[in-house]
This record gives sequence, C-alpha cells and structure tokens, in this order.
Amino acid sequence: MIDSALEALRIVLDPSRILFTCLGIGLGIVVGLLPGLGGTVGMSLLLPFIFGMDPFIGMALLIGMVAVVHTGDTFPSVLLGIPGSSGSQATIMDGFPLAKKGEASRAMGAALFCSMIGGIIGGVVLYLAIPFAAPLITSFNSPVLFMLTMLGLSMAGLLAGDSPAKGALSGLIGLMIGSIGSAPAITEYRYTFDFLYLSNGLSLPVVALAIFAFPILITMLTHKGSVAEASQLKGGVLKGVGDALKNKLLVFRSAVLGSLIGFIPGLGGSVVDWLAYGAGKKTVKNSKFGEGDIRGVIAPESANNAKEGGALIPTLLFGIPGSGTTAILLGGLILMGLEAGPRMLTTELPLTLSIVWTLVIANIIGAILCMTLVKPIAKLSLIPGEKLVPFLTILLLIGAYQSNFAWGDIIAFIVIGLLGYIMTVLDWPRPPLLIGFVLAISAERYYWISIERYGWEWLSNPIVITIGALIVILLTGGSIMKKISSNLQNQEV
Amino acid sequence: MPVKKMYALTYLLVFTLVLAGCQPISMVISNGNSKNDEEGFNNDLLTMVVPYNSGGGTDVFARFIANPLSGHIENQPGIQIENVPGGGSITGTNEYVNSYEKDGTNLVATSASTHIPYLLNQSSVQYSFDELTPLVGAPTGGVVYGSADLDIESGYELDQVKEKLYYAGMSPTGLDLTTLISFEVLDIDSKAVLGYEGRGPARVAFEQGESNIDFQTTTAYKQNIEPKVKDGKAIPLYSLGQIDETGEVVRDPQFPELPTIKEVYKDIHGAEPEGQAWETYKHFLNATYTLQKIIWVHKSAPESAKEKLKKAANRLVEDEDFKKESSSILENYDIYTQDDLEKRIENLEENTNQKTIEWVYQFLLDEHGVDGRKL
Amino acid sequence: MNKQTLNIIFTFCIFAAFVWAAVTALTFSRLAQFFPLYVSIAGSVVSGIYLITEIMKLIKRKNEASHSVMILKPLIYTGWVVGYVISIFFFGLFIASAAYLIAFLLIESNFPLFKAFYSTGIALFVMTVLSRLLDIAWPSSILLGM
Repeated sequence: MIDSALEALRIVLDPSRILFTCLGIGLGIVVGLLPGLGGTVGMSLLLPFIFGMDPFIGMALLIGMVAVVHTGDTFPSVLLGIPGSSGSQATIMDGFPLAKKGEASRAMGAALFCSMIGGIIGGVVLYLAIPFAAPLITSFNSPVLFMLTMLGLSMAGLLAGDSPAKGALSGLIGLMIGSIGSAPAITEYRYTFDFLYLSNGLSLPVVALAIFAFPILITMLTHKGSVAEASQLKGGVLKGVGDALKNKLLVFRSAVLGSLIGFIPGLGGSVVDWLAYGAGKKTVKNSKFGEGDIRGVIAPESANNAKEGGALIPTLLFGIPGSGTTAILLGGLILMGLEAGPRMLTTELPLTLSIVWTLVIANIIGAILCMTLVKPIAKLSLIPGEKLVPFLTILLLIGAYQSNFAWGDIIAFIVIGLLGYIMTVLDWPRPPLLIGFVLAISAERYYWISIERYGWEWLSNPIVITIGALIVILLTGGSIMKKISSNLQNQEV
Repeated sequence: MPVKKMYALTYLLVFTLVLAGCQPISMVISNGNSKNDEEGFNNDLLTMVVPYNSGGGTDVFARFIANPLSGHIENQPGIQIENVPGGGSITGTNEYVNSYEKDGTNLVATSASTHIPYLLNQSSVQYSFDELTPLVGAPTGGVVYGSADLDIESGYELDQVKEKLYYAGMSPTGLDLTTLISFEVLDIDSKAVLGYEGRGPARVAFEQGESNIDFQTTTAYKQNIEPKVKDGKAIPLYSLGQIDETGEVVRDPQFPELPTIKEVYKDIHGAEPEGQAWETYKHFLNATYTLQKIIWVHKSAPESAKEKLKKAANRLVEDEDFKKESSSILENYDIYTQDDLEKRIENLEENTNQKTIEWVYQFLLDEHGVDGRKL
Repeated sequence: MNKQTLNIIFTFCIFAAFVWAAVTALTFSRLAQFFPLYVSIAGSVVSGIYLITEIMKLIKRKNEASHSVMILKPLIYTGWVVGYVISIFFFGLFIASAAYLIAFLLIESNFPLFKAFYSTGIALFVMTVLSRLLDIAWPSSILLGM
C-alpha cells in the first residue's frame, strides 16, 4: 500500500491538480471565515463545476475546500465570538476571552497551528483506518450509538458552569428545539404551528448563529466597547504556535479523538469540537477553561480538522454521509462517474489515497495562508462595537439566510437570538443548548430503534454498560477518582 | 477614529481579495443556482426547480439531464438548476406550482418522495399531477434480500423462514412504503424498525445483524449487496418489479434472473395475487419506482412552448450519446418517450381512488400506528 | 429591572413552555411522542424545582447584591435589527441595507455624513461582489421582487 500511496502523491502533486486544490482552499477559507457559511455551502457552490471532471481534479477541488473550512472558521470564533461554521463553536469558549484580553493573535496562532496538525493527523488516521474500516463501522449498532449520543450530552453537563440547574435546563431546551419538525420514524410534524418551514426542523447554522452571534451584536452595542478590552494587542502568532508545541500531547489526543468521532456514522460531526473541549477540560492540570485558557482553544481546533479525515471513511466506503458536506460529496462522486462503495478500496484505491494526500496538503497550505492573514484581521477586535455591528448584522442575516433560502431562517435567527440574549444576560450557559439541539435527533432515533429492535435487552450489551459507566465517571467528576486514588495510597502506606 | 474605521474596510477588502481567487471558475461557467439573478423573462434561459438539496439523487439527475435536454430544444437555451429544499420536497414543488411563471420556461424535477405525499393526499401538498405535463421520466428498481441466517435459498421459500424477521427502514410514508406493502401482499410477518437515517445506515444495520431482511435500489444493490451475495452472506429474495404499459408487474430489466414478487406469490400460494393490497402495491410501485424521477412543466404553459419541450424530450430518448453517458446515472434503465410517459401518468391518475387511499391509511394505522390523516 | 426578578420571570416562561410542550406531546402518535414527552416532562420538573428555589431565595432576600439589568437599550438595538429585516421584506436587501447602514452609522455611530455614505457604498459594493462570486442567495422582497 505504501507504493500506491507514493504513486498517489505523485498524482496529487501534478501542477494542474495543485492549482485546483488551491482554488478549493481559497473557497474553503472564505466560506469558513464568513459566519453562517460552511462546508455545505462551499460544496453546493462547487457541485455544478465538477460535472464530468476528471475525478482526481474534481476531488482535489472538493477535498481542498472541505479540508480548510475549519481552519478559516476560527477567525470569527476567536475575534468576535461568532461561530464561523458549526465546527468551531467550542473555540469561542476560550478563544473569545483571549481576544478580550488582547491576545487574539496568540489564540489564532495556536488555533491555526493545531488545525494544521489536526488535519494531518486526520489524514493519517484515514490512511491507517482503510484496512479496518469495514469491520469497525459495522460494530456500532444502534444501542451503542445511542449511548454515544448520551456521552455527548453529558459533555453539556461539563460546560454548565456554576449552576447545574441552569445547565441542565439549557440542555433540555436544546433537546426540545431539536425535536421540532418531523420525528425520525415518521413524518408527523411536531411543534410546527403548521409552518412548512419548520417541518424539517431548524437548521444548525441558524441556531448556532442565533445563540452565539445575536447576543454579541446587542452586547457590543450596549457596552459601546470593542472586543479587546486592552487597547494594545499583545502576543503574536508565533507565541500561539509555541503554546501549541508545549501542549503536544493535548493536540495529539484531541486530533485522534476528533478523527475517531468523525468516523462513527450517524453521530454527526458537529459535536466533535465540544467533545474535544470537554475531554480537554477534564484531563489537563490546573484547568482555567472558559476564562481564556489557551488549551481551551487547542483542544477543539485540533479535533475539528481531524474530524474531516475520519468522516470520509463511512462516506467513501459505505456511501453513508456523516454530515451535510459529505452528503453533497457523494452527489459529486456520482457526477464524476463514480459510486461510493467497497470499490473505493480496490479498483479506485489510487483516488482514495489521493484524497488522503489532498487533505494533508490542503491543511498545510490553508494554515499557512491563514497565518499571514492573522495580523491584519486581528485588529478587528479593536474596532468599537457601534462601528462594527451594522456591517456584521448584514453579514449574519445573509449568512443565516443561506441555510434554506427562506424567510423562516431570518425569523428563526431573531427569535432564537433573543432567547440567546436573555440567557446571556441572566448567565445561563448556552453551549448545553447547542449540544442538546445537535444531538436531539440522534438521541431520539437510536433510542427508538434500540427499544423497537431489542426491547430492554439492549441495556445488557457490554459496550453500552461501559459507556454508561464512563458517563457516570464524567459527570461525578474527578472527585471520586481522587478519593479512590487517595484511598489506595492510604492503603499502600 | 478614522484610522479605526479603516479596519472595518480592511476586513471587507480582505474578503474581496481572497474571493478574487475563486473568480475564474465562477465567471467561466454560469449555470449556478443563485436566486438573485434577474428574474425577468429571458428566451435563452430555462429554470429547473429541484425541490431537494444539492448533491442528492434528484439533484444529480436534474443536473445531468439539463445539458443534453437543452441541446435538443430549439435555440438551445441554458437550463439553470434552482434548489428549493425543505419540507421533504413539498415546499419546493408547492412553490413551483404556485409562484413560478407558467410560461414554459420553468421546469421542475420530482422524485418518489414528492409523489407519495401526493398519492396519500397529505394536507400540505398543493400540487397535483393534473396541473403538470411530464417531459422526461426515468425508473429505478428495488431488490428485497435476506440474511444467510434465514436458512433459505431463494424467495420461493419465504414461507419456511423460522427466524423472526426484522426490517430496518426510514419512515412508513417514504420509499419504504412500497416494500412494506409488498410484505403485506406476501404475508411476510416482519417487524419493521423504522427511524433509520437513510438506505445506507439501514444497510449497515443489515450487516450488523440488526435487521435480516432489507431492500436496496438498483445501484446500491449492485454496488454493495451483490458482493455479499457472492460471499454467501446475503440471499436475493425477489425484485419489486416494474409496471409495464398495460399496468402489470413484469421482471426488472436490470435483474432479469430474479423473480418478481408476483412470481414468488404464485409459487407460495398457488394463485395469482389479487385484492386491494395487490392493487395498492401496483399503484405505489408505479409511482415510486417505475416513474421514480420525472421532469415536468406547467400544464397551463403555452402550447407552443410545451410542444418544443416535448419534442426535445422525445429526441433525447433517441440520442445515442446520451444513452451512453447516462448509463451510470440512470442505472442502465432507459428514459421513457414523452408520449409513453404522458400515458403512464394518465393511467396513474385514473388508478388513484379513494379505496386505495383508505386501504393505505388503514394499513398504516394497523401495522405502524400512524394516522395518515394527520400527515 | 432587578436581575433576580427577571431570572424568575424567564424561568417561569421556560416552565410554561415545557408544560405546554408536554401537553401538546400527548396528542402525537406513538412513534413521534415519547421523545418530546420525556424531554418536556424532565424540563417541567427541573424548571419547576429551580423556579421554586429561586422564589424562595427572593423571599429570603439572600442575594442582596443583585444587579439591575438594562431593558431599554437592548430593546432599541433589537428594534434596529427587526426594522432592518422588515425593510428587507418590503424593499429588498440592497435598498434596505443601504438605508439601514446610513441611518445606523449617522444616528448610532455618529459618523460624519460623508464617511457614512462612503462606508455604505463600499459595504454594498463588497456585498454585491461577494454574492456574485459566491452565488449567495438574497432574501427577496415582496414589493420589488429583487
């Protein structure tokens, strides 16, 4: 396989293909940068062009774009506290406080460097997973998938802040918003008030923008200040890179976690950054997560680029799209005369390997390109609110509108935005709401299937029990662990 | 303060600069799907509404057909695809019949999941096949297969299955409906577990043993299941078949060696299938498989425009190049001639009656606890 | 208004919403019912308990140092956004954005007349270029259809 990998590298490095990769990278960074636009928009933009293209060139274009969306989306997350795409929500948690301290460049440097490393690790995982992919994917049955969504939900508990009740309620509100629209098992419309717009449920970009961006718009105006409270920007990109290098292990751990979760079909890649953030928070020493800890930027950013490599495995091998982006990628494959399936590992292996290489190369080029943009763009955080907000408002409304091209998008943006604003004012944590929203459909789907298929028997599945135990440990926190270890030490003494 | 304001401008300018990188391709090819383009009447541009997201099966079909079809229309107008997703394709199709100009420049591409809500008379549906003239239509097929654990050799032995059958599906009112009715016709007692995300995840469920009887449409079956049949892990049971011009179920041209549900029924029960279940099955098979993907134009469009489009559709059928290029997208099936298609739609409309709908509602209520009237 | 009071009002709204959702869920069919029902019941219980504890705290006046919350200003700024959206609905994105930007920059940001027009012009130009190149769809208005 190494021979074929080298052969694929030669194909990828062909100048004409590199050109298309770069085109893809340019577009990927732009759609990542613009709030509300993400990989899905980039994909549907490119789809008309790849019709009948040589698969290697078409893939260079598409994968080049996908690979760097989560590199570009870091800018608005760190600088403005607005998610650039659905993959960089968790970056806000510490990136934005860092920008407030005037350390935006440092945060960006760390984030971009981690994005690059994460993306490369994701590519490597994709390569290594090729031989084991099929048996691994079929080992996740519905009860296990259900427990994994529960694990994701328990992350909401970790992010609840100081009031558990508020955190739990926020998560429940998210689950409730997520259950708007038709149920997974039947096209019965729930809580839609007879609006056809709501029948498919609300779109993630709209909810994510509303819950994070709308409150920012208002608070920036009411407080009449710029993002950075310090008037001088300190710390540069290189300092951030240094921070990332100091936390090599965290980068590696988060990237592997990211690609593994991307790899599980049906969980939805949008929680990857939260999971990595939560896992990071639990495992680092002296965590100051949430107050501008650089490690809170490193963990999710390493994971979200790595996810793309993992997410391609079920897409290419089984034709199961893990996200909106990969769903369109499947359509793109068909337009180029290919069909996802087991053949991607036999007759089409060179193409699959070229995808691995494109991922790696695009991540490197994308990160370097973004680093050169950090210095001018970081100054955004010094602009006073009332001068920035009107432009941002337009950008956000158009961004929200891209989800369904419907007025409902804009109305939902404002209504949920107001909810988000009230929650901000009253110190209700908002991340649990978003996690609940993202996982609502999966939770309902896999719970229903587990019960329908296995009755209550599924609870006795050993993997289910293991994950259940993990959740309990996560929620009860390190305190029990500490007790146990100190007990053990006492006994030894 | 002027200095600081400049940053806002820098911010916007940076976008523009980066965008310049994407310029070449956008400029060269202009069949995008923007909504902001001038909506005025333009002789050289047709619009094809696709009520699905880009990248889906119907979108790919529409994009594929657009160019060859336009090549056969007088003056060869460009056809731009406009995706209007939402509401499981009902939103876009409603919008097409309600607010797109009926001047023959607007087309719409529909699929089985657009047809089923119409057949079921769902309240949110505002379109009717009566108001539309079909231009291009293409079928797909479906194969029901079982796990090797069932210990049978073929569909003819379905009555000897001892194990409990589990079927993994998406929703009782989607494409699964036809398969579920076929179980009812054959009197197969299977537990339908619904709620899977799509046919792909349902296939994975089959591989895990979460289900042991499943179906896939033609391409997915050939790509993913035929290798398993060779390995002895899956057994093809029957094909859903196709409806011919006379309204009867015949073998699927893509699976000439597989018995249809009709033959399996005859072998097990010793008689031809009949009754309301069988009639309903044929009706839905027709609407969801034999006429799976259709491109339409408003029926009230000017006759001259309609004639041009019809002619183009008929020429497309004879186009040898198109046939060659389209084999992978159309799964090797042939598209129908426009006259044939129009007749088939007329037949379908005639067969739609209250009895069929009542039967389906009762079936959904009894077997799946779904109240069809609430949909 | 007092933050604590506002929190209680908000919690009550959430509680009412959950109860309403639970009652509505009872009318759904079996396949669609269980999930919203579980979640809304859990939500009602948690928000109910939280509401009671908060009211208790208020009665006992535990939190003397409760901050007051701005009401008017956020409403005004929300009004700007809503007004902008309404004008998009009537006049289309381009005209509405121009009017909104000029008005906002002059009134809220205290830009001099010339600079307000100048920045608006550039913003509109960038918007147009962006939407052409990226094929971005704009909300259409009912009056002008653009």
